[in-house]
Amino acid sequence: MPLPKTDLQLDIVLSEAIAQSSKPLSILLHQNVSATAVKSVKLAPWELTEKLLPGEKVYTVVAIKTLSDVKGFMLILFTEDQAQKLATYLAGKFETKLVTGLSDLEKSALKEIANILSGAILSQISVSTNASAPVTIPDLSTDMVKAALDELCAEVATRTTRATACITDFNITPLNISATLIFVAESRD
Amino acid sequence: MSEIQVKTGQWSVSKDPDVLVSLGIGSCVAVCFYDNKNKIGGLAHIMLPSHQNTNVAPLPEAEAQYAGDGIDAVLAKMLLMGCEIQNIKAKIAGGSEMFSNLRLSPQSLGSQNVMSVKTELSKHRVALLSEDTGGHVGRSLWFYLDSGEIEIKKRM
Repeated sequence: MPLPKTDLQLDIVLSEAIAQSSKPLSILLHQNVSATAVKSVKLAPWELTEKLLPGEKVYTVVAIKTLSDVKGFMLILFTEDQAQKLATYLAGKFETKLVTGLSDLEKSALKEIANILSGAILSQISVSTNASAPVTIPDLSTDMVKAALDELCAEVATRTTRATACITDFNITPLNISATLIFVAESRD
Repeated sequence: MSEIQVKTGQWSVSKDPDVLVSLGIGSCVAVCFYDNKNKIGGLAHIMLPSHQNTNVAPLPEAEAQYAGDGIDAVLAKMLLMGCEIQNIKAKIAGGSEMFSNLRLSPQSLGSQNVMSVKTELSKHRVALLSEDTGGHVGRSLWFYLDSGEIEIKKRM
C-alpha cells in the first residue's frame, strides 16, 4: 500500500498498526497486554478534547509528536493512580507506597512506554506504506486533560480543519492497569 | 443565574447574574471583558494567535479560534448591547506550556497567544486589569458577571 492518501486509508493503516502495538509492550512488561478494538473518529482539532475526553478530569498524559509523512501526535493517558502503579512496577519497586506524585525515574519509565508504543506503531506504518514518521522525544504532564492537549490540538489547527483520531484501551493483566492510547493524524481528504 | 460554558474557539457575552465558564485552559487564553456600569461581560476562548501564519481560514463554528477575531466579536457584541468602550476592562488567563520538550519553535504557543491578545487589547484601547498567564499548569475559570470577579482553579 502506498502512503495513505485518504482518511479511510489512514484509518486502516493506523488501526492495524495500533492493534499490533500491544506485543512489544507485553514483552517489556512481562504481562498480558490486550487492546480493545480501535475506534476512529474525524473531528475538528478544537473538538478533540471537548468530544473525546472529559476535559476537566486529571490524567497523566505522555505525548509524542509525529512529523513528516504522518503529522500529528500520539497520547497515552493514565488515571493518576494507574500511572503511579505502572511507574512503580516499571521502576522495580514492588512495595506499596503513598502516592506523592511521580519521581523522575518513574516519569522516565512511563515515557519509555510511549517510545515503545510509538516505535511499534510507526514501524508498522512504515512497513505497510513506506511512510516516514520521525517522532519527538516524549514528554509527560499530569493535569486536566484538556489543558494538556490544548497546544497539540492548536498546532494541528494551524495546518488543517479536520483530524483523524484513533483510540484504543490497553489492559495490562495481572497488574490490572488500563490506559488509553489516542493517535491523532492530520486529515488527508 | 445560568452558567454558560465557553469552549475552545468560542465566545459568549451575557449580563448579571450569569457566570461564564471555561474549563481546562492550557495554551489557550481566556480573555474576559467587563463593563462595570452595565454589568455586562464577555469571554473569548482563544486558541491561536493569528491566522497570518497558517494555511487555514477561520471557521464559523470557531469564531474565537484566533485572538483578533475573538476579541473583535466580543467587543462588537458588548457595544451592541449598550456598553461603551471606555467602560470595558479586560482580565486574561491561560497561555501555559504543558509539554516543553515537544516544542519545535523558539517561543511557546501559549506565550504567543498571550502576546497577541495584549496587542489586540492595545489596538482596541481596552485596559488590562490583571492576568494569570504562563507556567506549566492548566486552569479552569469562572467569570461572575454580577461583580466582574474571576475565580481560577489550578493544580498546585
